[in-house]
Amino acid sequence: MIWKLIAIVILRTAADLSFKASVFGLHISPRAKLGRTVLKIISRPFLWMGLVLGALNVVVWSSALQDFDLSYAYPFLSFSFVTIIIGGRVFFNETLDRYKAIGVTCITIGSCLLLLQ
Amino acid sequence: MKIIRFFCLVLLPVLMTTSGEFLLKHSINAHQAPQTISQPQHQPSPLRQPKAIFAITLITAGGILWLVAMSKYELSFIYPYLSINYISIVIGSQWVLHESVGWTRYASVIFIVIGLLLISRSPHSEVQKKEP
Repeated sequence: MIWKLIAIVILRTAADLSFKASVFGLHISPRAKLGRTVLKIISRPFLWMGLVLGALNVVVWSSALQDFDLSYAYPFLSFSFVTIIIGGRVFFNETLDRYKAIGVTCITIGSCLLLLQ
Repeated sequence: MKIIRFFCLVLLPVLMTTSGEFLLKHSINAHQAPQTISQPQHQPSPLRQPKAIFAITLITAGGILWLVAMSKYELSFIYPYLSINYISIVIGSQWVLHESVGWTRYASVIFIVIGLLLISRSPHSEVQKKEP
């Protein structure tokens, strides 16, 4: 059943990278009105791709919750931070500095601790 | 106004996600509970329960608000608030959902929170915004 949690990590990563792609290069001003910001974002195709992946994620997540405790499954999903940061480096050329490197290492240790059970 | 925006975009999504996850798990648990003879054998999918639909709506709306928050605030400022999700879900699972939460789950959450705090401290957490 662990495949469901792995599938959710993959889906979340793909969805978040799509969301990032949807706001990538938009240069939204911090002074921009909330309504205008939302309108700008919803016109991007990557947002809809992210939403479809997000919807799939909800279906698999609901199925996983039938097999796992919430206190087990939810922290496990934090592993998606690791894959998202790696994805950010690969697809958006984001900087992977020592803070992020140590941070993702801590999260990986946290996720692996869960597997000890 | 700043406090209202902070509440609506940062605290509210955290609250919506946490309560949505509890409600979804509670709904699934109730659906999985042993059925009595008087209940029908074929119940609809747990996703079709009104409670589950409301929970998924809460989680989705929280996610959308969080997306807006990411475009408005520095990641280093809002990332640590994600820690609230992990802490409240593990503690709440034990107290509200009566799950058996061992030391590994608490230790795991401590590592995750430290990891999130470190990531938020990164000077490269924020996209450099260009003012027009």
